[in-house]
Amino acid sequence: MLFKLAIRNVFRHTRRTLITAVAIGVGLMFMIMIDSLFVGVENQVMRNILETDNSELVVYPAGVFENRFLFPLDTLIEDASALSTKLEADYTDVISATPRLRFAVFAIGPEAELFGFGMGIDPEKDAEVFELEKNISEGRFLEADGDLVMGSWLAKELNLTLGDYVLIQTRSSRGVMDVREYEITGILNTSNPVINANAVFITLADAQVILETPAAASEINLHIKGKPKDTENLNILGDQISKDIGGSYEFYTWYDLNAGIFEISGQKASVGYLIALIVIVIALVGIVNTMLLSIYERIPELGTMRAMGFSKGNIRWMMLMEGSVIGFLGGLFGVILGLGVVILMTEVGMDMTKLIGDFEMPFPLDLHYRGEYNFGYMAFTFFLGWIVSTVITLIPTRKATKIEPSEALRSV
Amino acid sequence: MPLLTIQDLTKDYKTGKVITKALRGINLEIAEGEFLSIAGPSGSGKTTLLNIIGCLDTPTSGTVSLNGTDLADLSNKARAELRKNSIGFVFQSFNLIPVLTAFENVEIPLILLKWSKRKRKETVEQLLIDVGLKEYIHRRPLAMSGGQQQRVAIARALIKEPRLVLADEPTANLDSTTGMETLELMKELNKKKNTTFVFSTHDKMVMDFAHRLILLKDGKVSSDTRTRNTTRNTKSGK
Repeated sequence: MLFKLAIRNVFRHTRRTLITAVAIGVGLMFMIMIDSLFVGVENQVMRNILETDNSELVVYPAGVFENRFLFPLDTLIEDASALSTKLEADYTDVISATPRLRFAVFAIGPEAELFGFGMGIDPEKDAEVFELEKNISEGRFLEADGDLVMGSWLAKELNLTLGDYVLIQTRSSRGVMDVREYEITGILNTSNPVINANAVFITLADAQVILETPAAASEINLHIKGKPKDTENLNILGDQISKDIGGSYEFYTWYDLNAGIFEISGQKASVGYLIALIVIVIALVGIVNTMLLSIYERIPELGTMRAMGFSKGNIRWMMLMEGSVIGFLGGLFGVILGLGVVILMTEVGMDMTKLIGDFEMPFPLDLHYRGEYNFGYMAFTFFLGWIVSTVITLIPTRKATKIEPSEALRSV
Repeated sequence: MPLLTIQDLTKDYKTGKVITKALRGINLEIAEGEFLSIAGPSGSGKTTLLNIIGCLDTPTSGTVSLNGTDLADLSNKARAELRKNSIGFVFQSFNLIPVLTAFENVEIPLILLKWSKRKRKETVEQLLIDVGLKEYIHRRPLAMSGGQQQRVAIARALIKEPRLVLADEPTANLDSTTGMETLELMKELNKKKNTTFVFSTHDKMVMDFAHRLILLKDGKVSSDTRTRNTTRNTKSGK
C-alpha cells in the first residue's frame, strides 16, 4: 500500500517529477558521456600504441630503459633475431616476436630539415606484431633494403611526397656521421601522431649497416596472447622469461612504457568525473527541494495519516519510496540520454581537427575522438542515481516524520 | 467503567514568551455508546480537547484514561497503535487522501491492521454501500461532492469498528441538508454498532442532534446537559 501511495504521490505533480528526474538524468548522462570519452580515448591510445609503437611486452637490454628516448646504440640486444626466434619457440604465450632498432634521425629535404627517429624493422616479422601496413596512405610498405616509409606529418613538414628523395643523417654506434639518400616508397598515416610526426622506417638490415650494429636491435617486441589490459599477467610472463634467459634483459609492458601518458589522461579523467559529480550534486539538490515541496504541501495529509495510525516508520518508508521512484526515473533517463550521446560519440565521433586543426600532440591519439560503449558503467550510473536519490531523500524525510499530527491537522 | 475519564485536564500553548491556556481544568466522564457534542465559541478549546482524547496531542497536566489506560503512560508508538486500533477520526475538511479512490481511502485502516485482501474488499465495499456510496466506490475524492467525501471519511473512521469516533466539526463544510444526512448516518451507526461519537461543533443542528451537550468556555466546561433527543444508546450510562 505504501508503494502504491508513493507512486501516486510522485505522479500527483507529473511535470515537477519529470523535471526533477530529467535533471538527475542529465547529471548521469554527463557521467556516462565523460566515461565513454575517457574510456574511448584510453582504448584508442592503447590501440595506437599496440598497432604502431610498442607491443604488449617489450624486451630491452638491461639499463637502457630510462634513456631509451636518447636512442643509445652502445647497449643493444646482440643477435636479436636469434633471441626472437628462441622466445617464440620457448613460450606458448608469445605469439610472435620482432626486433626493432630505434635511432635518432635528422631528415633533410630540399626545403626543410627536421629531427625525428628512425626505426629499423623486419617487414615480415614486424607485420606479425604491428599493423603499420594497413596505415599506408600512399605508396607501399617496406619490401626490400633501400625502401623508406615516412610519417605523413613529417613528410608534409619537409614538403616531401611519395617518390621524392630525402637525406637521412645518422650517427653510427662508433660515432661516425652517415648521410644516405632514400626514395620515399610509402607514406604512413596512422592514428598515432607520434609516428606520423616523427618516424622514418627502413629495413632492419639497412639500419644495422648504417648504424654499424650488425645483428643487433634496441628492443624486441613480443605479441602476447590474452588481453593487453591484463598487465599483471604480462608482468608475470616478463619475470618468468627474465629468470629463464638471464639478467641481461629487462621486460616492460606497453603500459609501463607509456605510464606518463596514462597518468596525464587519468588526471584529465579525474577533472571530468569531478565536473560530472558537481552536476549530480546539483540534480540531487533538486530532488531534496522537490521532496520538501511535496512534504510542505501535504502536511495536513501526513497529519491525517498519523491520526489513522501510520507510524513514523511508515511515513519514512513512503517518502523514501517516493524519492526512490524519482531516482529510478532519473537513472532511467540518465541511461537513455547517456546511451544516445554514447552512440553519437562512438558511431560519429568528435572531429576536433575542425576545431583546432592538425595540432601535433605528444599523445599517441588522433584528434578524431571516439567514445566507447561501457555498459557496465551505464548500469553502475543507473544504480548510483537510483540509490543516491533514495538515500538523499532521508534529509527531507526527517522533516516529514517530525511533523506532529495535531500541528499538521491545525494547518488544514 | 466509563470509556473515557478526564480529570483536571489543562493544556498550555507557548508562542514565544506568550502562554495561551487552551484548557483550564476539564473533568468529564464519557460512557460507551454516547453520542456527545462539545460546543463552544472559537478558541474555547474544543479541538484541543478532541486532539488530546484522540492521542494526537499531550496535556500539560491532568489525566485522560481511555478504557482504564492512562494516555500519559503511553509511548509515541503505543499512542499510534491505540489510534490505529481503537479511535476513528472525522475531520471538518474530510482529509481524504486525494490520490486514492474512496475504496482505497476506506481500506487504509484495515491494511494497517493487516487484514487479508479478500476480507478487506468485502468489508470496505459493504460499508461504502451502507453509507450510500455504491456508485462512487472507485472515484477519487476530488470527483465527489462534499457530502460524499464526508461519507467516505465516516466510513474510513468506522471501518475498523473503533470504540470511539472523534469528529471535529464534521458538518462545517456541508450544506444543511447534507449535514443532516451525515448526522443521521452517524447516529444510525452509533445505534447499530454502539460506537461512541464525540463531536466538536459550532453548529446548532449538531448540538440539537446529540444526546449530550457539553459547552466549553475559555477552556472550562460551562455546562453538561442531556438534550431532548432520543435516549442515548449507552448500556452503562453516566
